[in-house]
Amino acid sequence: MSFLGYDRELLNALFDAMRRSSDELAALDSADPQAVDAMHVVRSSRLLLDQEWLPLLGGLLACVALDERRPVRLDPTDLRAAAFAGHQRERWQIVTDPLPGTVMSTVSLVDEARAIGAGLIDPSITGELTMDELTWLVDRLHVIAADPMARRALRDSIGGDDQWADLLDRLGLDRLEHAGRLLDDPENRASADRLSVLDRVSAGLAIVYSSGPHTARGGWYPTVIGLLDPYSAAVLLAQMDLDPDVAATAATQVLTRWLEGNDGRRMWGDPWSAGDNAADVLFRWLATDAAAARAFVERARRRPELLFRTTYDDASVVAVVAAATDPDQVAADVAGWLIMPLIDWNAAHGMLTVPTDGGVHNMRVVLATILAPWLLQLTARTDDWSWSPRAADATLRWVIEDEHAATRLVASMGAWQQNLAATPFVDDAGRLNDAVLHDLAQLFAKLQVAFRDEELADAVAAAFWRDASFFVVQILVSAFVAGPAASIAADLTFATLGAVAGTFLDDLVTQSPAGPSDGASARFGSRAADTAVIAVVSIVGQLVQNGRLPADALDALRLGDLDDDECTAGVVDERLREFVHGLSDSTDAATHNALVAVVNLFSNPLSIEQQC
Amino acid sequence: MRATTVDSEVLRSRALGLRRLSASMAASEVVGVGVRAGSDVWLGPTATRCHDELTELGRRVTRASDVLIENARSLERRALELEIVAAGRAAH
Repeated sequence: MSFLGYDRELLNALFDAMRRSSDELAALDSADPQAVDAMHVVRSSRLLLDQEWLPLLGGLLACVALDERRPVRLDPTDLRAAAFAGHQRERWQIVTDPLPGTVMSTVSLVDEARAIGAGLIDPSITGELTMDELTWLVDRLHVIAADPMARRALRDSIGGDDQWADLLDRLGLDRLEHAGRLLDDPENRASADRLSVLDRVSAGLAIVYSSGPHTARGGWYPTVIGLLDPYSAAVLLAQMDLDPDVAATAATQVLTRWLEGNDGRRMWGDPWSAGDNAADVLFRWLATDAAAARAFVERARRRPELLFRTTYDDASVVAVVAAATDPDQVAADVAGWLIMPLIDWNAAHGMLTVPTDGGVHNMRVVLATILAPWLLQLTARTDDWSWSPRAADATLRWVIEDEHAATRLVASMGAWQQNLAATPFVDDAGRLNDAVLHDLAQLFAKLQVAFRDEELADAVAAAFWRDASFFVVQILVSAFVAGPAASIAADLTFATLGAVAGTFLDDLVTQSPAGPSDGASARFGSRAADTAVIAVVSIVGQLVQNGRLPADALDALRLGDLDDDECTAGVVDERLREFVHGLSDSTDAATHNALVAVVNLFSNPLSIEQQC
Repeated sequence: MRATTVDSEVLRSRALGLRRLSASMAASEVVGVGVRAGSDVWLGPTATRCHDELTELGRRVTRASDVLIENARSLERRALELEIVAAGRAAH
C-alpha cells in the first residue's frame, strides 16, 4: 500500500498554476507551417494538464472521497510511516495512493535511505516488523543497495556496530523463532513466508553493511559479528560474499563465542530453538565455497570441537568437510593433513556423550562420509596420509562398527569412484598399471576382511561388492574393450549390461530365489567371487557384442553345477581362471591381461583359504 | 533603404509570428510548473509522477520554443537573400 501526503495550501497553489498554464496554452495559436510541431506540443501539454492533473488535484482539494484515494492516519510505529514522518508537516493530509511505489519517491534516494535508517534503529518501530513493512523494506533495500551514495547514507544513518548489532539481532532472533515454528509445523505458511522475507532483508542489509570505506574484498572484516548473538551473526555472514580467509576467520570467531556459552550479558538464542543453530547455518554457507571451507577446516583441525561440538545437524559438518576435501580440489596429502587431526580428536573425544546443546550425533556416520572418497588412503595407500596400516585399519573398523556408518560408506562410494576414475589404469602403451591394480586389490581385500570381521549386515556388504564390481568393470570395459577414448561416465548396471552378459547373469544373479545378496553366498561362497563373475562375464559379454569373441564364448564358463560339498569360493576362482586362460588365444594381450586383473582384484587368496 | 519584395515581406512577417509564439511559450507558467510540484508540496508515487511529468512538459515547451526561434531565423535568412537579389537587380 502506497501513501500520498500533501500540503493543502501549496497543492492549491500548484492547482492554480496548472490552471493558468492551461489557459495560457489555450491562448496560443499559429497556422504557420513552421509552427506545426510547436503547436502539437502546446496542445498535448494542455491535454495532459486538463485531462489528468487538474482533475486529480481538483478531486483532492475538493475532498472527494474516492476508493483509490482514501484518507488515512498513518501508524507512527509503521516503518513506512516513520520514513514519511520526517517530511510531514502538521497540516499535511494523507490519503492512499493507487500507484505502486514509496511515500519517499519524491525525495532523493539518499534522503530516503537516511530516513529508513533512522526508522530501523528505533526499537519502537522495528520491535516487530509486519510482513507488509518487511516486504516494503526488501524493495527499498534492493533499490538502495544498487546506489553507492544511498548505501552509504543508510549505513551511516543506522550508525556504528552497536546500532547495527541491535538491529541485526532483532531480525536474526525473529528468524530463529520462525525457523523453529516452521520445524514444528512445516505447513506453517506464515512462518515460511516470514523466513523468506527476513532472509531477503538480511541480504540487503549485508550489502549495505559491507559497503564501508574499504575497497577490496579481502581487506575488510565484519566487526559487528563480535557483538551479535552467534545465530544472528551466522545469518548475516551467510548473506555475505567474503574473501575465503575472512569467511573462515569470521566463522571461527562466531563458533568460538558460541562454544563459550554467552558474553556475560545474555544467553545465546539458538540452544533453545528447535531449528538450525549458528553452526548449521555457517557450515552450509562455508560449504558453498570450497576455498572458504578449506580455510575453515584448516582452523578447525587445531580445534576440532568447533566442528564436532557446535552443530545440531550432522549433515552440515559433512558438507563443510567434504567441500574442504573434495578430491577434485585437493591432493591426497592435503586431504590427509586436514582430516587426520579430526580423526585423532575423535579417537580422544568422539565417544564422549554428545552435549544436549550441540554436537555431532553419530560421529561414525560423519567420518564414513568424509572418508568415503579416500578409501585407498585407508587401505592400500596409507603412506599418503603418513599413518600406519594398523591405525588406518583400526579407523576403518571403528567407523564400520556402526551399521549406519557402513551403509553411508557404501552409499558414498560414488565420491570414491570419482576419485579413482582419475587414476590412469593403463599407460600410454596400453599396458595395465600394475601398481594401481595392486592398490585396488589390496583395498578390496582389506574391506572384505573388515566387513566380514565386523559382521556387517548382509545387504550392506552385498551393496558394496556389487557397486565395486560394476565400477571396476566400467573402467576396464572402457579401457580395453570399448577403446581408450570411451567414456567411463555412464553408469553400468544390470540394466545396461550387454544382452549377452545380461542373459548370462540373469540366470545366476538377478533371478536368484534368495535375492541377489543372499544368493551370492549360496552360489559362490563369497561376495568377492560373485563380483569377479559379474566383472568377467560383463567384459566377455561386451567382447561378444563387439564381435571380438564368438557368440558362444561364455558357454565355456560353467558355474551351474557347483557341488554343495565343494568349497565354492575356491572352485569359482579356479573356473574363472581356467575360463580366462581358455580365452587367451582369442583375445589380444591387453584384453587378456584385463580379464586376469579382474579375477585377481576380487579373488582374495586369504579369504578363499579361510573358507576352504 | 532595403529593397523588399512581396515574398520577403511575407517571410519576415511569418518569422515575426514565430518569434511571438516562441516568446509566449517561453514565458508561459507551464515552463516552471514542475518546480511547484516538489516534495515540499506533496510526497508519494503520484506526486513523483506528477513532478516528473510536469518537469518534462516544461522541457518540451522550452525545446519547442527554441525550435520556433530557429525556424524564424531561417525564414529571415531566406528573406534577406531575396532582398539582396532584388537590390542587385535594382542596381543594374
